[in-house]
Amino acid sequence: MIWLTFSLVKQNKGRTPAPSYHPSRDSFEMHRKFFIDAITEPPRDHSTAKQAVSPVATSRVYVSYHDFLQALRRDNYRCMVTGWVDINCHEVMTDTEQQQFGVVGALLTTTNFCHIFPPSTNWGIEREAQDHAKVLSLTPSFQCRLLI
Amino acid sequence: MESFGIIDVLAELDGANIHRLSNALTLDVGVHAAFDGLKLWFEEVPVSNIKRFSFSP
Repeated sequence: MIWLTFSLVKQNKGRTPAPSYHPSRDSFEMHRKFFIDAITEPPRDHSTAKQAVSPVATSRVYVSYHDFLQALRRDNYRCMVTGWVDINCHEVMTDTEQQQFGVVGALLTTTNFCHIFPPSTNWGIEREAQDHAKVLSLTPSFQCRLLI
Repeated sequence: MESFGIIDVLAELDGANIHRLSNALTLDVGVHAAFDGLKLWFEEVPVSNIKRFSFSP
């Protein structure tokens, strides 16, 4: 079961365009924008937030750039198990930024935004008429278990 | 999950809250696949902010 696959790789449609002076310029600029967004303030209003929604999620579950970049930012642009650095963020960082985030010379990989509880968790669930506060708060137990 | 007394799904994971930061982590694609396949899991350890993870063969 795939909970979410989310990639920064841009999906090309139609004919292959003629190479420009920089074949990967679009990709670079997209990644650079993504990275810059990651280190700036989150969207403050709904319209801005909607603009940030990613059209390139590769599953039926869409995660906004904002959510993905916030996870990357919190995790210092690294896989939380291996410590390998997200290659897309790494390649658009300036030398200064690479030093700032401690990723100089790091092993690189492609990372995903990984849900702990999958998106299907909340599908088709409705609150009962007489529902009582019967469970613990998510945050303490959840973070305690999984966040490194 | 609610039967286990872990979380209140509607209160904490309803709608877009499923993407909340505390329900996410950045993982290498291979590690992500192992996590999805229940071949990798996290275990709580006594010391705060230190987690142990395990692999299943």
